[in-house]
Amino acid sequence: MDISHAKLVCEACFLGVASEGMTPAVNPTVQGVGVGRKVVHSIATDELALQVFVDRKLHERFVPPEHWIPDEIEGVPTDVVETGVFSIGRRFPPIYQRRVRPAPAGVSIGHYQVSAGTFGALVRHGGDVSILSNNHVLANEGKAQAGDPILQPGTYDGGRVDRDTIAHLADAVKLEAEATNLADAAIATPVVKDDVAPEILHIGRVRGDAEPEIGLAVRKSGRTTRVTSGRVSATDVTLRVGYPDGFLVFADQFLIRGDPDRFSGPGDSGSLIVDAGNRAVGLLFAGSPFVTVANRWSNVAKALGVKPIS
Amino acid sequence: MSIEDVRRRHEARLMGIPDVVGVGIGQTAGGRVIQVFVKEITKGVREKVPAVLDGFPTEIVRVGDVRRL
Repeated sequence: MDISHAKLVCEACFLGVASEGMTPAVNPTVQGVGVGRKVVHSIATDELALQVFVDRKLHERFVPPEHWIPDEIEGVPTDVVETGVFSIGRRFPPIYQRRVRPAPAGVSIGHYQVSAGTFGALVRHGGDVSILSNNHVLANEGKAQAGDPILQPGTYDGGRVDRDTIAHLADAVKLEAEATNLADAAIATPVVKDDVAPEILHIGRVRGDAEPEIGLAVRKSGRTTRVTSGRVSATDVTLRVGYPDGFLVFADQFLIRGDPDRFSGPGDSGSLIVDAGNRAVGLLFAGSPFVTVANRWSNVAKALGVKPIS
Repeated sequence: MSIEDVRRRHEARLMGIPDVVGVGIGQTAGGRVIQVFVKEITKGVREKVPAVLDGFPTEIVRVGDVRRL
């Protein structure tokens, strides 16, 4: 008895795999074949058997004769094993890219004409509670109007105006092409107060604020790379940053290097950067495969007149 | 002059060097340095960025293509 030959016969008869001298056929209930130990009364014996994997194992009365699996093939006994249908795991997006209510900071958000960025934090703006992120996430780089719908998740993650509007654009720090910028920041007012949560996903509540110092250990929770850690590598930074319409110059920024891996990726824009004590130190807005660039928290807070909610 | 003052004083000149995209203050084992950020480290940049500015050492740092995320 040749088990590998028997397996070829199985593959030809059930799965339609062409082999020399055999006519391929398909048994639609068969999902695969393999070789294992023959199981008798739930106990594996020393005898080898052909395992025939079926989506559902049924009493033979319910199996049409053309789908029957013979007790043996080419002298090799068979075992019918119920496996269900194999698939390459249907992609189910992580919570960061899904619609979440109440939405914690860290998840996907964006103006209805923007792909997607990150809901950075809930902040206090006068007597109101507002969603903080970047201008280029919430205000479409200045092309948006106050009152425009802000979606959670962002459009890139399937957000739709009719269903997923979580807030309306309230205010944005203007981005200047001819002068230096301090912040790429904007705020939006939630439609329903209870649809947003003050916690940053997997980081928790913000506890006040602090200045970025070289070497400071920081973290962020963002739409694309989720929770990452890194260290402040440079402060007092003036830098040209690429935008779709050209370079903008930012001053008084700081740089972060990821530790151990990348700190950020596209879609993480708007993430709040916090230190080990969850104090707000900056607003993430730009980067490259080597570094991440952030606005100093104090500049963001001053430009928009906001405070972190602790 | 503090390193912050020196960085500010030389910012415009350093950012006028081709391939230089930014300046900042960083740290090495020997102390604080003026970092000069470039997309790629080139021979031209090495020749044009002074090793020392008003007593503070410079460091050329490759940051790649920095874009809004």
